[in-house]
Amino acid sequence: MNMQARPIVKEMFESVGWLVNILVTSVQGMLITGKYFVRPNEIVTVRYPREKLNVPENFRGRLLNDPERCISCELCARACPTKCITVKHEMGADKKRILTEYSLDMTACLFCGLCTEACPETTKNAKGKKCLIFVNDYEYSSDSKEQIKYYFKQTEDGLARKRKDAEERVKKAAEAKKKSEEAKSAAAAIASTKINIAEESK
Amino acid sequence: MSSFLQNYFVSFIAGLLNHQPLAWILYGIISGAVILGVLSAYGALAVYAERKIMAFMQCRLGPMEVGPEIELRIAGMKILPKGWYGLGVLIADGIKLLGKEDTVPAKADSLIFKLAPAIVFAATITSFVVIPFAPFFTPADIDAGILVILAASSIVAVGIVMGGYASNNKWSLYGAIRSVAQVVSYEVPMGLALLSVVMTTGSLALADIADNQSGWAWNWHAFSNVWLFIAAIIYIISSLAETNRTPFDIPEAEAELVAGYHTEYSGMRFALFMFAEYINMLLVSLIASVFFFGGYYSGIQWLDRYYFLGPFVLGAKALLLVIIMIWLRWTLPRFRVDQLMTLCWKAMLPLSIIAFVGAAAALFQTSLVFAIFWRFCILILLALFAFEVAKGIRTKSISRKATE
Amino acid sequence: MTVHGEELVINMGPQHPSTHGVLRLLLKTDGEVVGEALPQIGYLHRCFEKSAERVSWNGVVPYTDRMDYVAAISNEWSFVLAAEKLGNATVPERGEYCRVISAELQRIASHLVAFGTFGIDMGAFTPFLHAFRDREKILDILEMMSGARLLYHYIRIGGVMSDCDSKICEMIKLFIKDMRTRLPEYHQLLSYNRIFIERTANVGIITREQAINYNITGPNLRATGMEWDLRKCDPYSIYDRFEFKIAVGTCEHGVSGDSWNRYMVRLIEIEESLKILEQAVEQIPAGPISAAIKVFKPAPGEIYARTEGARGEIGFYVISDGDLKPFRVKAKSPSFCALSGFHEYSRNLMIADLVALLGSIDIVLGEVDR
Repeated sequence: MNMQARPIVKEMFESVGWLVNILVTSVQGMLITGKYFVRPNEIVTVRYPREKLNVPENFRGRLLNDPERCISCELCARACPTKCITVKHEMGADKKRILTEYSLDMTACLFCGLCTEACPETTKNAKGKKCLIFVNDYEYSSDSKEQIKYYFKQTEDGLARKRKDAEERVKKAAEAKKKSEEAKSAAAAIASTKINIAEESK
Repeated sequence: MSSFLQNYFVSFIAGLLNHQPLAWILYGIISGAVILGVLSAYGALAVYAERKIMAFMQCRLGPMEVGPEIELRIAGMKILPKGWYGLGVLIADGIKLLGKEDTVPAKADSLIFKLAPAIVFAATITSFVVIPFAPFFTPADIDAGILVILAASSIVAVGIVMGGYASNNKWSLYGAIRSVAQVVSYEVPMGLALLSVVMTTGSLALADIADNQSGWAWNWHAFSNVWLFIAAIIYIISSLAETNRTPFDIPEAEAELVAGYHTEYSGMRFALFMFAEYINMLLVSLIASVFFFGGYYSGIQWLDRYYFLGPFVLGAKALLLVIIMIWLRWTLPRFRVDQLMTLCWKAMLPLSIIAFVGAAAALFQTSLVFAIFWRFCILILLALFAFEVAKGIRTKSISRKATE
Repeated sequence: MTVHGEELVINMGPQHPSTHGVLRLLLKTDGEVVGEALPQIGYLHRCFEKSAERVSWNGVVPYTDRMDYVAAISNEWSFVLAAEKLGNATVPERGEYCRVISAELQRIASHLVAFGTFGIDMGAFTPFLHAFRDREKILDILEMMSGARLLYHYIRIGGVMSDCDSKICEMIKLFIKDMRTRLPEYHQLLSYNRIFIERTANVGIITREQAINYNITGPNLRATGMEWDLRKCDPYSIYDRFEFKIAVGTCEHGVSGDSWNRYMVRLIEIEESLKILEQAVEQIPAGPISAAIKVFKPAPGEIYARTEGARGEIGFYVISDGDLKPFRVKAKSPSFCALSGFHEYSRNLMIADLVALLGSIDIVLGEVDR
């Protein structure tokens, strides 16, 4: 009896010690939660529609293409891992591409930024921004997939202007070619006369 | 004696109506309606309080958007700055729960499934009739009030089992099984803790127990005697298990059992379970206040004769305990089911027996010296506890520095 | 006398709060005791390896982000390392430092998620939000660096995407200071809570033999007391320049290889990562961040490269046939390995212990299924 009783008593004491330990550590934990309860300045909630977080300059929020400056090189479409970019273009009079429609399927976009990096430097505007950029806008969720497929269309005016520009460029190029040919032929004529003179002088 | 107010009220109505039984029925309806009304308001506010307290502890704001913009000024002084405090969620939640589809799983035992929340709710609310809210005012002054409370709290477990079993969901079944094991075990130390007080007071009526603690705060049972102090702690711990609150929330352990016994419930049936939980919290806190912390007495002798303070004092004490329960919930992890049993049978039960025997022994030592000695013991216990807490914090910071 | 009733087969998941995603466990239970737990995976399979064969070398990197979305940078680095080894690309000094800084920040962020979710598994909700509060600061820093908050695509072949400038370095210094005050709070709130210790110590033990047999790496292996950290044992990049210790299970509570030690290893690793960060921010040299590579086209060959991710050894076995696209990419993910022996070390645990085990091995289902 005595032999058995002793371990039971011991175990009981251990269990009570265990209970006390639970209480002690619980109070320690409660001190932490209590600390934050009485410190309103520790609250980190941002009440989203009312307040907004500042997003950095390079935030990859949403893709935006400027059809005005786009040269339809399709480097972005080729760089895209998910093939979410399709570029429709027509050939200008000078065999250069003119963008008609640039479509972005944001349902498939990975936001990896490979397209914006592939976008050539030549499309930069005065502010140094390429034509395909990420903008900070992140509030474009919608309830249908169609709404987050973006189509950047060339405006009618822009298209007409670009076609005209192309034609003008062709004209200019033709003129320049003509001029240079004329100049060349003139130079050749001069050279040949020079040679003739030289030969004659001999 | 303690039902003086009640008898006065009934005889007043009886005088008006000239019909004694009708007066009793009317009295029952009125007191029931008052209790239900107060409890409904409390239930909604408790949910709000829980959400807010939880949020602040977690560096969040909690509910903010629903409801009007409030600016609280008292005598021109800004108590709360102008802003939304989300008080509208009280109503919004209610409407949401009412508006939800009432689903019963296809293969569930429909009758038992529907009955379970009602039983839980009814059993919880029954106990309130025996709580003494003020001197001379107990809604139903039963001589053995404590037995009503213990019986009713056991019926809650029956309701939970019915809900869990009838859901025809394995996780719910686990919740129900765990709940039974837990409630049945924790009723033993809880009963013993209450019994020590009953023995000290010599009465099973709650009003007598409360009346035994009038005067200064050291007359409260918890502070009058080191054994009853231990009993008070045991009661509070067991009451956490009784109400299925963390760290004893294994019947509805979210991470393990999804939502335990009320996984399959939705809408108002779920609301009844939740409502019952919060009311149960208030109930056990009220009982703790009545048995150990002076009941409706404020602990200041000069205020004792202002009887009308009684309900407010009692309510304040109970709400403080409710807030501590909420505080615990958002701090502690939960036990495993076998650890819960170990804690109950190996630690709490022996301790409650010791407290019971000690309280019995203390009854024979009624001299002033002993009275002071027992209170001194409580102080020493508290000091040791505070020392342990502080030491733990210090060693942790030291060990952190060592690792750095 | 033991009574054995009928086995109760329960489906835990794929929609269950503590399976951390879409893992399905088939439990054969006898009362509270789980006789056998069989993981059923594949709910998040996205054909990473096949997808990688049809995109350019640079295009694979954002896909690797999606494997372990909690610690994306570790995956990127591992694949980029393989590609660079194949293509003999060199990374500028500053680029390496940027990589180390981002990877260590990511490691801390990942361990904070592990800490928080493990707290939830154990029933403590508050540590989770405290951890997320601190993780948010890391995400802010990484957002400043890369422009994204979760799937960064920061490490590129030949360097990094953008610079870690002095402003970001200042933010990191502030974060280090802040994090050092938070860690003791975590310990006080959760690690040394007696209930937490009871729940996790001596629970879900993975022995060293089991860990090695099942190719478990990372914190789960180190919790068994094994000092195996690729940053020290097989140093890649510039990790040999930093002073830090390999975090191993302390056995302060429980035995080595149990849930508590696995949990603790992660918290110690946060401290060690803070040390690395501190040194890296101090030492970071000036210079270019990325080597100029126009078209990345490695010579035919095959290679296995590995890095120490937040969950263990992330390896990529890559075959190139000299094309613009990889010929074959095979990913070795630590979470998958950690889950592969699950049926063995989950034997005869209780349901609550199973949750502790699953939470402490810290799997990410995106990485398991890929």
